[in-house]
Amino acid sequence: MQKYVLTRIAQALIALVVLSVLVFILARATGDPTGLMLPPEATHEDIQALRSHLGIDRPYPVQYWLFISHAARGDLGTSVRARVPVIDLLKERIPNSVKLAGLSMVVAIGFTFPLGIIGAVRKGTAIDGLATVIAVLGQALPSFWVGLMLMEVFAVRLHWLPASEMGGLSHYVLPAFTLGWFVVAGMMRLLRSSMLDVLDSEFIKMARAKGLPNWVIIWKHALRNALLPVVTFGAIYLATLITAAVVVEVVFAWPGIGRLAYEAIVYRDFPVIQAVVLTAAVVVLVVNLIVDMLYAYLDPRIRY
Amino acid sequence: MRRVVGLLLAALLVVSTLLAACSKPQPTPTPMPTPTQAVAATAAPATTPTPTPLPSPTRAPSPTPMPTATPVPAPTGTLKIGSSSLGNETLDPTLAAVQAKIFMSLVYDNLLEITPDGKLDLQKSIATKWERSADARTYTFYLRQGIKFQNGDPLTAEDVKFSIERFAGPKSVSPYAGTIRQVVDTIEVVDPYTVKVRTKIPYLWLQYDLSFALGNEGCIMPKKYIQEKGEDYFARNPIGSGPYKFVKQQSGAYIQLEAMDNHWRIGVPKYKTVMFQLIPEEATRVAMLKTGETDIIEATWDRVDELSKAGFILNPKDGAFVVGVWFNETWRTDSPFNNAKVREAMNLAINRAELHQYIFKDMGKMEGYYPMGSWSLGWLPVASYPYDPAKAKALLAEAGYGAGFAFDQYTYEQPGAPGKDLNQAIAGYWQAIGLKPRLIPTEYGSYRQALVAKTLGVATGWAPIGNRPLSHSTVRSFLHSKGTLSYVNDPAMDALIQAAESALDEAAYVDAMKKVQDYARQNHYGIPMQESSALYAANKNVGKWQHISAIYDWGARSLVTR
Repeated sequence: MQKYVLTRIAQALIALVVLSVLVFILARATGDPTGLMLPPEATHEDIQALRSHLGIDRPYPVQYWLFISHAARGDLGTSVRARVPVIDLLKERIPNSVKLAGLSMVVAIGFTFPLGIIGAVRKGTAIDGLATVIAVLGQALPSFWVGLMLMEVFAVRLHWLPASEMGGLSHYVLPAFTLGWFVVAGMMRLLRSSMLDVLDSEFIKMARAKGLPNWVIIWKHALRNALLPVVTFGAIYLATLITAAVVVEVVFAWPGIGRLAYEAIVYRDFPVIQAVVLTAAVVVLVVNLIVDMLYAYLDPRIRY
Repeated sequence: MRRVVGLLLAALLVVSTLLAACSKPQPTPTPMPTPTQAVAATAAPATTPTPTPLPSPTRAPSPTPMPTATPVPAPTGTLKIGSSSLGNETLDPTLAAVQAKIFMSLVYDNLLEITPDGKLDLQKSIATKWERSADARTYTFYLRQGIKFQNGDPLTAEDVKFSIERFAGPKSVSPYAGTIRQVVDTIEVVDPYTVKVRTKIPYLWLQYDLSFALGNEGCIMPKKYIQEKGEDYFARNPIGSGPYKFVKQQSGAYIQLEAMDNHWRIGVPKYKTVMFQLIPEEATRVAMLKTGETDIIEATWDRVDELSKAGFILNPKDGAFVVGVWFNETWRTDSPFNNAKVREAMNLAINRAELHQYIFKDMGKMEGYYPMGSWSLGWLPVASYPYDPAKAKALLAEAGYGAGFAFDQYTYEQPGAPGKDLNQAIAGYWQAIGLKPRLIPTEYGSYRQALVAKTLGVATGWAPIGNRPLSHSTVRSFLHSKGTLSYVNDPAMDALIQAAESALDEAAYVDAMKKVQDYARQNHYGIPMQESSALYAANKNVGKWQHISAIYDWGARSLVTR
């Protein structure tokens, strides 16, 4: 097990280094931030002076070395646009994304359980079909459209909820629902097929033979065993929700890390792009590792 | 039993929490309506305040009034402004992008202020008087006495010197700092209220560079505070001498300002709190305006009619932008754009009256030659090109392009005009005379990079330029052979621009600038469109407010003045 963990950590580090080179090159391939920072009447001298000031006129290997050596010490550079340490921006924005992602996952679970269980227990019926449709719609409908429609109905027409921005719990409802519904499709299908597998197994037949009531069989015996893949999928998806909820964050004016990345890309803010991508990669790699460990811990049949 | 009771209590708690959280949000405490109170044209400080009905919860308790005097008003209520961008959200003017002006204008005062129509206004400036020496190399600014920063420190000549030097300093990334660096030589504090600035070259325009008309370079910052606390601290906890002080900020979300009790320029500010909200998505801004979560938003051209029908007040800032399309790299001998007849033909092919009606919603002046706008000194009201597709086709044939030619037409979104709609319409007119434009939707950052590198080839681009009091720098950028974004390489044009830049008095400058526009028109350098408005929509509580002819400004100062 220890050997496995160490191997995984080594693999993660290699992945991070490769990713750092990729994001470094790709970010700079999109262009020069000075064009977006200076007004149209800026002269060539102004542009060159700013490039020099920002350190982006140095050769790429030098820039990369500076970036990676500082990053190793926890210094992710200074935002080209905001002129503040990138780490400060991350510290301000990441918690907002974590909160939204957490509540979105709660919404997703709230849908997944009833839809997945009904789908399994009433397999092949119209109600199973309906459950699948509801789940798949979450993935099929573009999230920006869902967000804007929910905003139009529940905020503008009905005045039940605020349209956007961070605030109290009511501000979380619409964006969490939009994000959560997207995740439901995958989780619900996984739960349904997992439940079907478990419901077919010998120990369930034994439970039925013992004369246990149906609800005990489903909730106490089948569900517990069927949940494992769903939990692991959910945990991995949570990492994605934290780091990549760009569309929902833009639509709902949510000051999270996804929107930070989007703004950084638009403005060619290289240090922020690099920092956000690497942070997201670290989150995903760590969550994956933890989930695999958890899997082995929870299911004695799994051993590395 | 205990377990059941415990579970029931827990369930009750959860349900009640959810109900409370999901309850109808409290209406935003928007300012109480003042009946038909338009901001006065001269913006003179109010003498007798109009009695406003019912205080909002945030109102400070009024002091006991003197028996014979009217009660002193206090700022009340919250004004929320929903913007697509707060620039880079810093409150240090030397680090701020141009969009920051909307909130900078409340936190700081400028050395020189301007009237709503763009003239220098010494009644309302930190400088009560300014002089320029005959050789145009020494400027003397005489400062108003008694202005205090928000921490109580007096504003003196030391602060003015410090501020200008800070803008010119190595850490400054202010958009127009380049000009300050190129022009300013030394700054002398003659006495606590007199500053002398010496320039490296004869220069006529420092008063505008340090005014509210352009960027933030005229903002006066507190020397003592910044030197004591440090620059990083100042960037997070700014102090200015403006009517509103910084309270707090959430990165990516909002900037909150609070009124000072009284301000030397505007008297008692109107609102207690002003919130600048960052709402990038346009549909969301509109939704928030409708729900009352914001009071003013930037509107876009295709939502203008809808907002108007919904009862919101449209308050366009007329002439905010000068819109034009251009022919890239006209000097290329292999390009059809090298031929003046082709350029004229492409101008004549466009039905500007139609564009004025459908794209620009009947707003904006049509005269003038891009990139100069009507706010600029030396502006020539050049007549708009007539619409004459027959003559256009004839000119193309004369130039040897009777069969038309293909070229790239780049479109991207920029504030000031609906870029894609405008370019699609123009492409249609060009197709009608036999040309083959290839519309390429792109994004401004990528396009500008190629524009500066001059790698676009036979192509057109477009941009809205902020209207401004002096245009020689933008003219240089676009029309001088060495200009950064230039599409012209013509020694005669270079000479005319040079004449304007080296003019030693305003009359010579005006004459030279007029010649530049005239020459550009004669040679059809560019495809001028018209001036356009910056669009704002507000709820009825706010109503209309007076715009000021300063670039990047929303008129926040008018909004907060009684």
